Amino acid sequence: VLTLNLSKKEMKAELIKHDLRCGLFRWKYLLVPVCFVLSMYFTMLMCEGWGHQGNLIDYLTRVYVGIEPIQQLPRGDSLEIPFDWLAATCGILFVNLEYLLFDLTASGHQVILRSGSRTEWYLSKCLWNFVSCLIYFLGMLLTALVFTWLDGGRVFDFTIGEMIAAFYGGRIQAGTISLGGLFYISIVLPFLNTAALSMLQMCLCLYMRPVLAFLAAFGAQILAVFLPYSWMFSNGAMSTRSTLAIIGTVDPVILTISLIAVVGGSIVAGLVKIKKTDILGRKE
Amino acid sequence: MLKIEVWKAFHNSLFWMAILVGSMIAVLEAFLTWTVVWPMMQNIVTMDIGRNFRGLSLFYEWMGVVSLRFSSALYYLVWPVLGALPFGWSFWKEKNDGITNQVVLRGGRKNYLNAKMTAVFVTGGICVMWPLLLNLMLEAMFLQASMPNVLHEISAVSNGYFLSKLYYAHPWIYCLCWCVVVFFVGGAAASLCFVAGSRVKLFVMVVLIPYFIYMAITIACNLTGQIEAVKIAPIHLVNAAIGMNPWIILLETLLFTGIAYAFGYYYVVKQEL
Repeated sequence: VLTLNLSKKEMKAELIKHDLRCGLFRWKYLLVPVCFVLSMYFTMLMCEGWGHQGNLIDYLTRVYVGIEPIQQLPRGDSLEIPFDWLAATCGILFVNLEYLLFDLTASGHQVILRSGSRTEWYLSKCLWNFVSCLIYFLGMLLTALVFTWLDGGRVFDFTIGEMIAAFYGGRIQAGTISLGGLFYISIVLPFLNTAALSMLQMCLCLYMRPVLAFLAAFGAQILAVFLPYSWMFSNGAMSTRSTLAIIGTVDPVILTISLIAVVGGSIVAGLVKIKKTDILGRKE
Repeated sequence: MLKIEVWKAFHNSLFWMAILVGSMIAVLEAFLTWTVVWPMMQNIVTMDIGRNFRGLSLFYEWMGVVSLRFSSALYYLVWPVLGALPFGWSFWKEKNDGITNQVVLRGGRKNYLNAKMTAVFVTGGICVMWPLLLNLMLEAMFLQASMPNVLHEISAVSNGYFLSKLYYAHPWIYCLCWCVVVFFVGGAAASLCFVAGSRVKLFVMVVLIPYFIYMAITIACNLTGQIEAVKIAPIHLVNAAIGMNPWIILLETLLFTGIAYAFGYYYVVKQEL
């Protein structure tokens, strides 16, 4: 319980504890595996098609392979954005959408008033958001483990085999990419992408109606399909475009910088807005 | 009561916000189309049309039959939100504010439900249909309305698709007919907001409910791995290029409207107010 007679340091700790306690014990996290089940299922079908037992690394890699850059589709061709990739990348928008809004209305007013500092209140929300993204990825890992077990593959086999090459359309050979590089483009960059997307949505919720914030963040992710540039942060969820995997168009270093810039920019923009917001008069 | 509900539906800021978002999508699509077809139009003038040129027509580039560009791809992925945004939330809000009780006492339960359902359906349908209609008008300003040719492989409406005969014979009527189909499909999606009742706590969740229902069904259809099942996924209902069976369109529209009405009937007529 937050009380008025706490020191600043104690208050900060209480805020973080409150956010972690209330924000991380939600039924919504049970929906996380649903976001990944389609991708994992397709991986399993692909492995079956190749007569191969998918390992954990196979399942984890394919989730964020994404699609090849679309420079100029021939007229008459139809663009198909894979729903498994879409569910995995944009699922976080649904999972993280409402917590900040709950704390900006009704009983949340009490927390803001007692916390004494809007800055710390918002920073605490950012920390919660980051931890929530970690849980989202933990959900992905658990789903991958279940599918690896169902497929009869080995969990602790980290060899980059023929399935990984197949995910990239045969354009990489086993041995041309290191395990570290694969980990970076398949786990680290997608995680940063997820955090950036979620942070962007949270920040936009302060500037516009949450439903429009959702649409804007969703649109930013879809934009990556059409803009295969390093500065386009949402390319973080498309490892097939990275120069680390194949001769692609996206430089992972510039992409990392742009992802961190979006996370940082969202935090700063959110802080600026929250200081000026009429919290008591704010409607959803 | 119907008059009051329809008046409320058209006189709220969110209706106009949905129209604005839809207009932005339509304008962006027209602009992106212009950037693609303008060089082709220049080449036609200089007769340097290239070997792969298969014709240039408004009916090949219209957003209703094409999803190649960012704006159309976005539209085809988020249209249920556009439908629910204008007035789908109204029942949830009025029930939470206690206004429903007042209106029901004065006008009757069934009258209230029918009027509310109609207003939600109509506004949802209009807001989903509007981007297609606006895009058709915008692109008609710079693209010639030449007749589509069934032999051109760039045409997204293949032989055997719903209303394909009309598309190749009377394309303007086809476009208007497809807009009417989209109106009904959009209305059905908007009415799914009734499923939320008054239990959902946040406005945004009520508006997103039809979208999540559609996406969940689409994911389930994809999980079957069958192309036939993927083709009946409700998120593709407004996409003419998918070639969905007209009976499936009708069935899904009726089904979602029926489900919404059943929930509405339970909340308004059956449930103790």
